[in-house]
Amino acid sequence: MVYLEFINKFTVSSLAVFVILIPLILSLSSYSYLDKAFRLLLTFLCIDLIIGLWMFHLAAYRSNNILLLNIFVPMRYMLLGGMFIHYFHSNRNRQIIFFSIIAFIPFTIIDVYTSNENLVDLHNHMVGRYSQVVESVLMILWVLLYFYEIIKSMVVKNITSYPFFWVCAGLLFFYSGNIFFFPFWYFMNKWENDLKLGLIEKIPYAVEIVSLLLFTIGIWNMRVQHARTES
Amino acid sequence: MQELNPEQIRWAVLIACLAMLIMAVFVITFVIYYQKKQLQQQKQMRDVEKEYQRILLETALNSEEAERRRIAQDLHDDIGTMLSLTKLSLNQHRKNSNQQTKDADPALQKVQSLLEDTIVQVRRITRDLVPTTLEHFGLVAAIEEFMNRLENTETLMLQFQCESDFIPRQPKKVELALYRIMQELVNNAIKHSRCDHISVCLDVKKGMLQLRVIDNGLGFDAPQTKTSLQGGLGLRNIESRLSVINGSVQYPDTKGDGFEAEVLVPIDKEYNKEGTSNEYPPLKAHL
Repeated sequence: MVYLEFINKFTVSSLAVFVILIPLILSLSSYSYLDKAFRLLLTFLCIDLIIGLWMFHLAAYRSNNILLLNIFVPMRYMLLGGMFIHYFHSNRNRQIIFFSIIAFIPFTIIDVYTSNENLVDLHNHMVGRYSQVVESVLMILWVLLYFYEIIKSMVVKNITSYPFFWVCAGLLFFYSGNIFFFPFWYFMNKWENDLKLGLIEKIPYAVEIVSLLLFTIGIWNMRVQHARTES
Repeated sequence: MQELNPEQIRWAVLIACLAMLIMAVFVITFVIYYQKKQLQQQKQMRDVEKEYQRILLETALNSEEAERRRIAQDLHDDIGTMLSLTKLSLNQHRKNSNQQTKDADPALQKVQSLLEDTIVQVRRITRDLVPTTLEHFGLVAAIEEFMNRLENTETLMLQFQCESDFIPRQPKKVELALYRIMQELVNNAIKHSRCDHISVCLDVKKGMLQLRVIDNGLGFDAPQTKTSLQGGLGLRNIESRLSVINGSVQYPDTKGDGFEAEVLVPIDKEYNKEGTSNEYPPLKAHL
C-alpha cells in the first residue's frame, strides 16, 4: 500500500495528521459546551484534518501538495486569530486582530504570487516565503498580549483549569517552534530540493503534535468546567 | 542556495528552534506561577482585610457594651439612688401629713405609685442594658430571666427549652453575643410576626452551641429581607455579631408556618473545662 509505505517512511509527519483526531473527536463530543472561540478551533481542526489528509494522499502519490498549504495558511490565521477576538476584553486589541486578519489574506495571496514565477505550474508550486513567518509573529504577539491581559485583569481564578490558557499554550508552542523554521520552508519544500536538514525537518511535526495535545487539554478543561457548573 | 552550507543552517535552525521552544515553555510556566502568586497575594490581602473588619466590629461591639454598662451604672447609682431618696422623702412626708390630716392625700398616693413604677422601670432598663445574670450565672439563667421579664401579656406564650444537661460556660463575648442575638430574635418576633407562641431552645450539638428561636407568626423570607434597604438591619446585626465569634446563622424553611432561626457557635473547650450545669428545669411560661 502506498499510504503504509509513506507512513513508514515519514512516521512523525503522518502521525501529526492523525493526532488531529484526538482534539477533534473530543471537540465534537463536547460540541454543546463549546463557546464561539472553541467552535472556531473545532472548525480549524476539521479543516486541518481535511487538508492534512489531502496533503498526505498527494504526498503518498508523489504529487506537489504545497498549493493546499498555501490555501491553508490564511484560513489557519483567520480561525486561530479569530478566537482571540472572542477572548480579548480590550476593544482595541479586538479591532487590531480583526484588521490584521483582513490584511493578512491579501498579503498571503501576494506572497504566494511573488514566490511563484509561474502560478499555473502546479508541479513546481512553492510555499509563500514570508506569510508563515508573519503569521507566527502575529500569533505569538496575540498570545503574549492575552497572557498579559489575564495576568493584569486577574479575572481567571485557576489558570491551569482555564481552557483557553491551554489553547494559547499550544499556539505559543507551535508558532515558537516554527518561527525560525518557516523561512527555510521555501527552500526545503520544493520539487528539486537542494536543502536537506535531516532530522531537524521533523521538528515542526513534533511541535505540532505537542500543540495538538495542549489543545486537547484545553477542550477537556472546557468539558470539566461545564460539568462543574452544571453540578 | 549554492552558497548555503546545510550543516551551518541545520545548527542555526536547531539552536533557534530550541531557544524559541524553551522561551515558550518559560513563558507558559511564568504565567502559571505569576498568576498563582498573584491570587495567593490577593487571598492574603482579603484575609487581612477580613481580620481587620472583624477587629473593627469587635471593637465597636465592645464600645457599645461599655457604653451600655456606663449608662446602666449611671442609672443605678445616680437616678436609682435619687429615686430611692425621693421615695423615702415622700414616705416621710406622707407619714407627717397623715399625722396631721389622718387621711391620705390621693395626689400624694398617685405620686408615690408613679415613683414606684419609675423605680421598677429604671431597674428593668438597667438589667436590660447589662445582663448581670449572664455574667454571674451563664446563658441558661440569663435567657430564663429574660423570658420571665416578658411575662406581662396573656396573648403570648413563651417557652424556653434547654435540651442538653450541661451547657459549658463560654467566653464573655460569646455568651453576650448569643444573648443579644436571642434578644433581637425574640423582640423581632414580638414586634413584627403577630405570633402567639415563641420557643427558644439551647443545646449542645457536635461541639457547637445551638440556639434556636421559633415562632408561629407570619414568617418572612430572611435572605431577601437581609438584602433589602428598608429592613434587615436586625438580621445583619446578628450576622455581624456572629462573624466576631466565628458563628453562623441559618433560617430553615418553615413553609410559611412561622419563622425559625438557628444559630451555631463553636464551643471553646479550653475556656472553662468545669462549666456550669443546667440546674434549671425547662421553663414554660404561659403569659
